[in-house]
Amino acid sequence: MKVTVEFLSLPLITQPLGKKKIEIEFKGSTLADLARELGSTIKRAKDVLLNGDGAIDHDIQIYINGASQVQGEERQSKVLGEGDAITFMMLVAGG
Amino acid sequence: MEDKSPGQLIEEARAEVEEISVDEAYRLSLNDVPPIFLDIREPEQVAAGYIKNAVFVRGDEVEMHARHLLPDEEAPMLLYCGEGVRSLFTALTLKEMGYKNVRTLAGGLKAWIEAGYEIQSDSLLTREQLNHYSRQIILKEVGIEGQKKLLAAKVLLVGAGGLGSPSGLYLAASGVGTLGIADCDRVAVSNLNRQVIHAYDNVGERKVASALEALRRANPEVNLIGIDERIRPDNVLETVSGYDIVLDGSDNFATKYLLNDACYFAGKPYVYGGATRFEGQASLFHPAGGGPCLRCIWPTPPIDGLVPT
Repeated sequence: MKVTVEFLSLPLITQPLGKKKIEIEFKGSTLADLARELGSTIKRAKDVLLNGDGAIDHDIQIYINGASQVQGEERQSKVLGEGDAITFMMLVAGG
Repeated sequence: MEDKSPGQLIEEARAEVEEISVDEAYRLSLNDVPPIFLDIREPEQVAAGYIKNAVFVRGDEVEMHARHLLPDEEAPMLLYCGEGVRSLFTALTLKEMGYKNVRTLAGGLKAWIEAGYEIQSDSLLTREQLNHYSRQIILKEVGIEGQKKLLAAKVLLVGAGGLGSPSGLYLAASGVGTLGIADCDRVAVSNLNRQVIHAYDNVGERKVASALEALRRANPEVNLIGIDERIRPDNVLETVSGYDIVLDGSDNFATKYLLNDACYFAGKPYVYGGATRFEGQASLFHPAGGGPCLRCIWPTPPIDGLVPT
């Protein structure tokens, strides 16, 4: 499946990546499948984006196609669609 | 070509613009969707009294502001001035701009008052204030009622840094009545590229003192309160209790979560702000108004080191 992934306020990922938005192809269809692919292909994504279980860390908000954030079990099990736009966002503290 | 007399010009304008009587205007004002009452007089005249819910724009500035104030060319509007003459010419200008439903109040506000209809006057707003804030009072989203709310508002701004500097200056400039500013740091040279409330001469000073000096210059009528200490668990509730809303320009998650929690328990709206490099986040959290708090979205602060500040 091919989706677009955007990283907001995640400079530890976007700086080495050189961009905030990527298209990525992965095996499977769920957010957990996408997380696995990101962890293995994007530098620093494993440290910044994923927790010890390989799931998206709870510090990261997830939005699909700009809609309300994905919560609870769906952070792993949510089935994505071809061409979906997934946004990962971290809270920013700088003042 | 012979110059036209003022009388001829007025008659020509009357032939182009429909005038309605004050009785008819009053009747229209009671409709569920009344016409837009557009007051084109000078601020000092407005200070003495105006028709309720009027929108304000000086006649000589109508071309400049009409598109923003009156985006709907079809919307019915009723212009008035002091005695019903100037409004005729302003109405002509609006018609030339494409506004299709423009009428004027015959006899102006004078006729309205003589007929015994109510006007509003604002003892809270002086002539100087009307002039000072005129560019935002003409915005229909603010208006005189909005300005009165700003003048009565008490805002706590936490942090006199990159976020607090522009926020504080704009809040003071816009006429917020009471502005508290909290910070526990000193001004450093490296702050000056973005913390525009401070100047080179302030390097080494307490940030609160430096900010108060700039805010006083921006608007001497604001009641300024400096809080030169860190926001801590033992002082946060007392600190926020004296304000209507809290604007967070702090630079660390500990303070942000502390402010969120205090605002939650005190029932105050909490405005979150965060910035890093070229990205920024802002959000209003107001659980007492039915929305979520910061912890509903991010239950705990992110782990140190993952997010540069």
